[in-house]
Amino acid sequence: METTLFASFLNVFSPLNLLFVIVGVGSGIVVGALPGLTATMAIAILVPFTFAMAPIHGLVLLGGIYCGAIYGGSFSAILINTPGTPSAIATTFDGYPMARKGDSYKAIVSATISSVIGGLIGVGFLIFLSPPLSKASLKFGPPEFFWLTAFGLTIIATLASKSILKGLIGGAFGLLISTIGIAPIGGDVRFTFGMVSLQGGIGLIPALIGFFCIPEVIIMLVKRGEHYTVLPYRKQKNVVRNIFIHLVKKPILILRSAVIGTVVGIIPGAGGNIAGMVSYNEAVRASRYPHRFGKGHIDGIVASEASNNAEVSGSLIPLLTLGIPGAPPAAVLLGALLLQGMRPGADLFTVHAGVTYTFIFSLILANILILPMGIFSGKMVSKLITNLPAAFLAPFIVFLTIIGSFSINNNIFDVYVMLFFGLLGYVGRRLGFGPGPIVLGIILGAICEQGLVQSILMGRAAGNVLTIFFTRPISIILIVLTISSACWPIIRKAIGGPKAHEKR
Amino acid sequence: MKNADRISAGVIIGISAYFLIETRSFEKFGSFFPVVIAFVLAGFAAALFVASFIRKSEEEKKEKIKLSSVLLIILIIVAWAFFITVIGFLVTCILFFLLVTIAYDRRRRDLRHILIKVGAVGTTVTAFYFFFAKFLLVPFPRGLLF
Repeated sequence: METTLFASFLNVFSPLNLLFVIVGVGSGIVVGALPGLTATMAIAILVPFTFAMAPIHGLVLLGGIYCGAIYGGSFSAILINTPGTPSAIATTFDGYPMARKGDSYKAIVSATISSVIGGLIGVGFLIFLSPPLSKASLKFGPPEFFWLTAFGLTIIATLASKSILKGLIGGAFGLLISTIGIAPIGGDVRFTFGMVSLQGGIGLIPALIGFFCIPEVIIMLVKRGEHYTVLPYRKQKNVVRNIFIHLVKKPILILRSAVIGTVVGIIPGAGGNIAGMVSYNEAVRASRYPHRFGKGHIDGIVASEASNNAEVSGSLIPLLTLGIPGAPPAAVLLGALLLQGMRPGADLFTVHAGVTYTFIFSLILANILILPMGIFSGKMVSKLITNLPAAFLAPFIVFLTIIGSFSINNNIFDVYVMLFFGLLGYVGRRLGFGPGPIVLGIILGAICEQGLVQSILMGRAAGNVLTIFFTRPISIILIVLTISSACWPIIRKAIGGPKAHEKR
Repeated sequence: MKNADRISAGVIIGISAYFLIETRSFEKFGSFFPVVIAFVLAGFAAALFVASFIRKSEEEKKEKIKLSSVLLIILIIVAWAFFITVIGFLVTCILFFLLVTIAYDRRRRDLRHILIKVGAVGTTVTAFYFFFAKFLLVPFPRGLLF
């Protein structure tokens, strides 16, 4: 095992892997900084590009993009008060006011250093939690997988949507879509509308590309006249050193934010936006000077950025160990893993241990690279935000989505599927149905159905169907978690006042 | 949003009903999960419908968009995908990419800038096409042209 770990660590520094990490982080920062382009979208577009690569090269590239894009979102949050990715929403609260005071460089450096530290803490959790969890996953039978998916769905419905009811509808709709194709047990051909291409089910990657990319393109073109006013970005002396000293003096702030980010990341479906907001609220609550938040306080940026970058690794923990994505970008990474023939679970840490650990170690390098790349590319990125026209970017994205969805099976039908879900995603978004719950429903649907039906069969064989669902120890823990997460909005409403950031 | 919620709820109940009707021809284990989910979905949609009558009217902050411009964009994207198998991948992509770039860029529309755009789009699309076709060996759909 030690040999594999050591070899994997060295493998990160092979010239090709190093190149892919640098390219991934660099392009991730650019994508994340551009409003409207999210980490999920970047990974969704690039997944098909990686299928001709060796698994490790593809994963290293996508991991670099994921880390870079989540950090990159802070640029536009600070410079134009528009989060480049949803994860950077909380960064706008203090980042933009700070930039308005003329301290945009200080704000970016704070975001950069806290992102790096938060990201590294997150990877630490990933390294130490994943192997035991993957071993525990061997104890998961059909009932446990059923309850795990139920838990994931309640979380996404309660946390990731503005309206709980619409989140639940989205999740259920995704589950229903997942039933299209041949039934996993029984072999019925279901809901194919007479189309042979649908017998294999809805392609996960075309659906993901459609849901996450096409609505953005439409919005981008509708707002074609919109131009952003970027606040000036000027370098100042000794800022990096001063910020670093400031952070060293506040280890609890950064550690708490990173732990919140990791935990939120582990919860299936909850993304960086939630991590950032929760962490920001906790920073306000714990601070001796809460009135300073929202007016350009450095701790606000630190809390948000350390948390959302730690969430990246956190979201990979349930993905790599159980096959349940912790966040939307991780859901797309699941597609990349499956495309390479790698099934998440214990196999990843035994059969494919070399690839998996190289991927995990590459995240350390990706987070470290954010420091120089973020600080030195600031000027260029700020120019890019103003100068890159949507009229070029939008058709370029459409072009990539067409290539991406076609190249998976060399089938034009996948392009039509991608477009259908893209348009559905746009209409849904206008009506208040976010893509997150639907996509999670599609991903979890097959696992949920197989778990449910197999459990019923097991129960029948044992003589009691209910016992199999409600008496196994891991199932009981998952049931408690599911009920807690389903009831959480009601409890929060009953006990909680307004959130800290709303008090500002 | 109230009317939109009522219409969405109606459409979702309709979809659930369709899935339920379809399941009648399936075997027991093939239909169990879709039936449960379709009922759950219809239940949530019914709750959304009822909630739209109970909830107080909220101040809508939603930005107003021109429906015609959204429909035009959707039409362009759908036509783009459709013509790939008719005209050919490379030519269709260059044409539609150019169409969007020229039509949606309000800043510069003089001949010089249009020619620059033609060059930039042609180079970008062709480079990606050859990268996929020659390097990744992806066989693209063929039409009248290529």
